Amino acid sequence: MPVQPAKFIQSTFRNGVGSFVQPCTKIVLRYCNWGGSSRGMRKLLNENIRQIAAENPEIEVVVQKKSGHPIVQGFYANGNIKSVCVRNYEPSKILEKISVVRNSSGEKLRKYNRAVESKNESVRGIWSPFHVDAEHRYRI
Amino acid sequence: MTLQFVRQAVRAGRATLARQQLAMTGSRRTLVVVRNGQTVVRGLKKDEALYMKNPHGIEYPGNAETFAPLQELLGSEYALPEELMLQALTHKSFAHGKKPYNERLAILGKQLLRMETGRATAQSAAQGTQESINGHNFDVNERAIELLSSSPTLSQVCRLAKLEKSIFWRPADAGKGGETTIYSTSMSAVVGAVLLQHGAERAIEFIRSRLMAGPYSVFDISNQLFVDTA
Amino acid sequence: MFTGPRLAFLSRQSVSKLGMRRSLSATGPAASGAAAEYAQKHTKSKGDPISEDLAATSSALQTLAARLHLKDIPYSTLARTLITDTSGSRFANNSGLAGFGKSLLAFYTYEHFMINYPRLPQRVLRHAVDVYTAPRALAEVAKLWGVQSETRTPFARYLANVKDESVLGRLAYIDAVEAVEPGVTKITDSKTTMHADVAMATFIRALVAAVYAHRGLDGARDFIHQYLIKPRKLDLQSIISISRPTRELAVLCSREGLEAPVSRLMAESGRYSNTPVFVVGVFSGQSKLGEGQGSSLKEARTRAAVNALQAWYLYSPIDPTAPSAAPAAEYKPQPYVDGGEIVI
Repeated sequence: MPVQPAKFIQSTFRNGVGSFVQPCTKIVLRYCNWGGSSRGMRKLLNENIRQIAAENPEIEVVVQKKSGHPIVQGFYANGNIKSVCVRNYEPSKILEKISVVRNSSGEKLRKYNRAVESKNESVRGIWSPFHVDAEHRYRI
Repeated sequence: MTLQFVRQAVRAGRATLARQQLAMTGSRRTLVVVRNGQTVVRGLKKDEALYMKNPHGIEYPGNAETFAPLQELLGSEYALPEELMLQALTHKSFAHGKKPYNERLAILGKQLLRMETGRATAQSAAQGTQESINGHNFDVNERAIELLSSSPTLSQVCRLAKLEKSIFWRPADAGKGGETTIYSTSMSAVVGAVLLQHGAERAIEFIRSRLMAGPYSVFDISNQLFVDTA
Repeated sequence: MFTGPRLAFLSRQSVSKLGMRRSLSATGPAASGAAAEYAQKHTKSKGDPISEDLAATSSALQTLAARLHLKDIPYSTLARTLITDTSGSRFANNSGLAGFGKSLLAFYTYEHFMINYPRLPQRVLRHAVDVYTAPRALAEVAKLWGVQSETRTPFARYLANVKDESVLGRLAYIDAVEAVEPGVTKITDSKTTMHADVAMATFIRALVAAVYAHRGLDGARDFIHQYLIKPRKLDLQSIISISRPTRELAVLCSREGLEAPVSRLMAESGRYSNTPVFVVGVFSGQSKLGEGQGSSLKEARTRAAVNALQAWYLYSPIDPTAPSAAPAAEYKPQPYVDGGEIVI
């Protein structure tokens, strides 16, 4: 029989190799016309909204009016949505939060136990006791 | 396979021995060749002379005469080294895959042909229409495009270019056919070989000048072959 | 530039265009009469064209174009790549574009594998190309690019009082899979429905064709490599599956004129214990072709043969030049090293 492929093996897709596609596709800025917590957001929308949209041509910036606290919501390529409540924030602080949302990949926050995580196999290989020089090999 | 058996066979006169190779050392197997179509014992190695000929009787690796039709098709500017020409014209069925064959060249050549025929069709279809995507009109019947680089069309090109005698292959049974696949594979392999030897730009020139225009045009052949079943 | 004998073989039209052509970005030589006739005979009808202004109103489309750095491609073409032939809208669809884009994608993916792995077995090669270009793979990519779907039927859109133009900028198709009620899924396979994966795949293929139409063949090649080939990683070593490795290796050695392979035990430990380890190397004369480790002699020997065959099949030349990468004058052919797969 000729050489067959093992069809169950998956491939991985690495964003950033060859090209990078921004994972954040849409940002929703929600404000309320009545509430005091939305003051900062309303000021931001009056002054900075066009600048935000111009700086991020790859992201749809949507302004939403809804009663309640103001939020910054990011929609990501992996289907996740990140919401950040920005009640009582100054415009500069809201801009920081927008930046955080924009730079996120959309993955859930998780704890990394190792300094380096890699999908590539080791460059120098893993030590084997059988490939040590015969003179120095451990003998039981 | 022992000496004794060979002696018995000779005495019995049951088979004619064309060539014997008897080894006395323990590490080499004794080989006996029986030449009248009947194998006497399983596991024998056949004499190379039995399977190194193509259906037209030309012995591998052929000579200048064998490659003449292909050289004429290619011309001097798309010339290929002899080894590559031979490989492009050898099919997997020949000599049980022992000699370099054209499977991979054919795969690559077919993909290039498919792309080029689609491209040429899109450019042609845009002529005379107002709406086109920068000089291309891709809304052409897919089956018509597929036909341009399909087996029937390419095998007809092979026949017209008189390449049949140059191809090294082995039919399953005498008269059982398989020519369409073999000839089209060889044509695709020739395109693949030109691609690897001269680069994509020259290979596309080759397709446009030799296979889309002139006596072997795939457009003319496909016109004759196309049957509207829509 | 052109010598006398060359001209004799080329048709009139090819010669006139070849003199002016510098790279593959140009449209190429004009098609001969037969080609034009054939093409025009088989042209299909298309729907309404999409005007540039109408397409530019869609923010989803603008952001998608920016994300993929497609500013030089008109919005009308991009909007068209998102309309499938099952969308039910009046606009021209992407089926023709997708048909051509598929052949572009297939050629460049096959070329990538053939240049980097010239000896890869045929079935493994086809599977690898499938992993890169099948609808499932392309759908994954489209989702990562943030493509939104519009799967409402024309009737549903009419009831919602939504204009036909609103489908622009989103992938418009009618899903073949419908969740009717909890636990019940209805799948309709007809000309008016499409599976989600297939719909996404037509978008990617149509986009590749659109990039070709506006940027030329070189532009399409770069796009395919940057966005579809380079990011994807497939471990070829793990997908090769060999059924009779020792036999296949023996046939390979005989075909290549090497001495017959011999397996030798190189190191071992714990032979009579619960967990023995044997390290076997397979040699052709004095050179070691491969090495394998196993918990039995047979296993180690098999792995050694498999490793030797993988070293052969996964041979990759250093810095190869793809035929489509360099212009004709600079292209230097590599020696063709593949004699074909081993036939047992």
